[in-house]
Amino acid sequence: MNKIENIIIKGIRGTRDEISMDLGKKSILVFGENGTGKSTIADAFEWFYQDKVDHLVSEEINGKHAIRNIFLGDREKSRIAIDFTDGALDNEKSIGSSSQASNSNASAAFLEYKERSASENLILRYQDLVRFIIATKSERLSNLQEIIGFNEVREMRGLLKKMAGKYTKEIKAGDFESRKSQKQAILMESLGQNVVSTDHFIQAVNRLVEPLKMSGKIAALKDIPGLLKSFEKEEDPGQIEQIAALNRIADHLSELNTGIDELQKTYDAYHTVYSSLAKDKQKLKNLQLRKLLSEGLTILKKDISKDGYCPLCQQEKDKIQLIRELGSRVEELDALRKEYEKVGEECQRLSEIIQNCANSTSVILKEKILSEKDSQALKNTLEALQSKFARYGEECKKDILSGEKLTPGKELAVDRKGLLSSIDLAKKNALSLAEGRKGGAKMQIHAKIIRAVDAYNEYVAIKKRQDALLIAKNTFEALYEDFIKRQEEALTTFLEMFSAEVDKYYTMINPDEKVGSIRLVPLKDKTDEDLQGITIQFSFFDETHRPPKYLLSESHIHGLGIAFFLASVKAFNKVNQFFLLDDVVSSFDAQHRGRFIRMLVKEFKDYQVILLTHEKDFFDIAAAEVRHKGWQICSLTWSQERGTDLLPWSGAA
Amino acid sequence: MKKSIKSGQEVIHDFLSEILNIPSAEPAIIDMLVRLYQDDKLTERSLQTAVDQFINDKTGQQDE
Repeated sequence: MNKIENIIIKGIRGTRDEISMDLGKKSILVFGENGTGKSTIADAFEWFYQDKVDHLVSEEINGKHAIRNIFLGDREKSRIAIDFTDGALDNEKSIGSSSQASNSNASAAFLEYKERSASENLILRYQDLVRFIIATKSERLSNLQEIIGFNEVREMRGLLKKMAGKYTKEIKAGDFESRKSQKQAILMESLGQNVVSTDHFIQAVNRLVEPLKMSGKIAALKDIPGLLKSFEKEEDPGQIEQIAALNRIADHLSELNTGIDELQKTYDAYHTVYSSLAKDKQKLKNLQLRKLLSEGLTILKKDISKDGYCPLCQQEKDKIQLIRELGSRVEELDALRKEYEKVGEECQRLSEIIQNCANSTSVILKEKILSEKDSQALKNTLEALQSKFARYGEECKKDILSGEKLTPGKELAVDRKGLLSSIDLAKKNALSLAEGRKGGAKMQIHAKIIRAVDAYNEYVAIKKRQDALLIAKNTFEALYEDFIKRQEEALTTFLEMFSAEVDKYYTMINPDEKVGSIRLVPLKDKTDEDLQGITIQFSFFDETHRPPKYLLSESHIHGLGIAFFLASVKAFNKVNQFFLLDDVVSSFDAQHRGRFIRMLVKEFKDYQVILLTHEKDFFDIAAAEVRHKGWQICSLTWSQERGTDLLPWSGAA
Repeated sequence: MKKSIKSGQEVIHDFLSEILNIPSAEPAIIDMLVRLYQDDKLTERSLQTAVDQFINDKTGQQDE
């Protein structure tokens, strides 16, 4: 793994002239009072790897302009050069007054190194200590999954779940069973029996035409057009079409009758979820507040605002307390947002059903026969249905956040009696047209065969689609089930080992205290199916508690933050064997500081540590511990003429 | 600490190499998923397009 030989920083933040840290792979302890530019080293380091400095992002776009020392001339460049043990990775990164950054090393090896380093745990600052601890359970899961390279796993899991859900929904929305029953009902009416295979169908048609004593029988579906043609020779084609059209209208109305059941059921479900959310006005207001609170939380976590003040109301407020309060409010509102999304999903489903009903009605309204006087009643029924569907559509456009109420389902209900009598009317008209002719029996059989062929073809198409969708649904459900087992197994193994490591470092800083057995525990949602987040569990006076923020003091939370960072360094840093700690022990008392530095020296002796502090007490404790362990010890000074200077520590107290 | 921890890629790799043993999963769909992943083209849209094509092919198939 890679270590640092030398760092040169010039013209960045508080450093005007060059400061050089000739490390030669060694660790370094640096003391610098506030304002001497100590954090400049951390900022330059972060900029080298991340192309931005997180806490400066608010100052300018990407914080790039804020990188430069304000006394630099336009032609001077700000730069940080790092030489590594692997010389092929040496690089100088610089930025001019135009805020264009450039790297001296353009090799593929360096680009790959930089990309891999960007996801490693290289810097820990005081303000970062509480991030993981006070994060919400879902943020924690997301952060950890990102760190351990589980993003891809999360995406695959999400994809499989989405696909299973998509085909389940499609099957439900397709309403296949009732559509198949509909077609079987037509087949029963036309052929006098249910038909589930082509052989059945052929047999039934042959039986139907038997009374006509025609020569020969049909043997396959392809013979049917010939059979129908032999009927048509003797009949008026216009009238045949009229009979067929009336039958199509009757069948369509029967289908709509079933579709309307689904429509009304779905509308009632939509009405229930919509009204339940709409009746609590406070919930709706909170829903609109969520965005603001969530944004506020991001700002606080990024450390953009001033400590000790609420960035919005400018009142004095403890920052950690504020983050905790906002975090739990946002988490509460997340549940509310799910309710809101459920309303959206129901609305989407309803819209699809309305659209299907309206589209098929538009198609049937184009039948020529409907323009005839005798068909006016049928036309009125279809037009009345169209306007009903439009009214349902209007309900979908209502905005819950504007306080609009939905019309009760009863007021929108379709006149089913009228619909059923129109179905009868269409059938009756078709029958009387056939019977009114010479050779009426033949005409009737002809009309029945046409209806039966349409119904059977549609039945087969519906069944094929249903079967294919079922295959897709079952496949993705099986894949998802298998995948979540694998993910959870891997995550649990990781969390157990990672927890043991965190517990070790934490206990070394806080021995003989009544806090221990720290574990990261995955949390599932109410269905016990989905991973919802990760909580931190620990024992406190021999009782198990979670999460830690409600019981632990600030210094213990910071200790936990350090333990998480150090465990992450060991677990995930694969290319760099160094890390930087900037003022991480400010909330510790002398005893804890001593234990911390001893733990660091013992457990991370193979690592190169850059340890920065502005606290003289800690510096003295740490210097005493590391002076004979091969560390370099330096202090920072600042003057207006030279900016920041790094000087070797003389050893004088 | 690192011995038995699986990386995200290892979890996916294991899943894809044993995917054909999953009962009630359609081999044609599995094939699409694996191929899209190997070609680095696995997205919701690409998978949906491929599976929808499979469904349409099945729906359009003539009876024997």
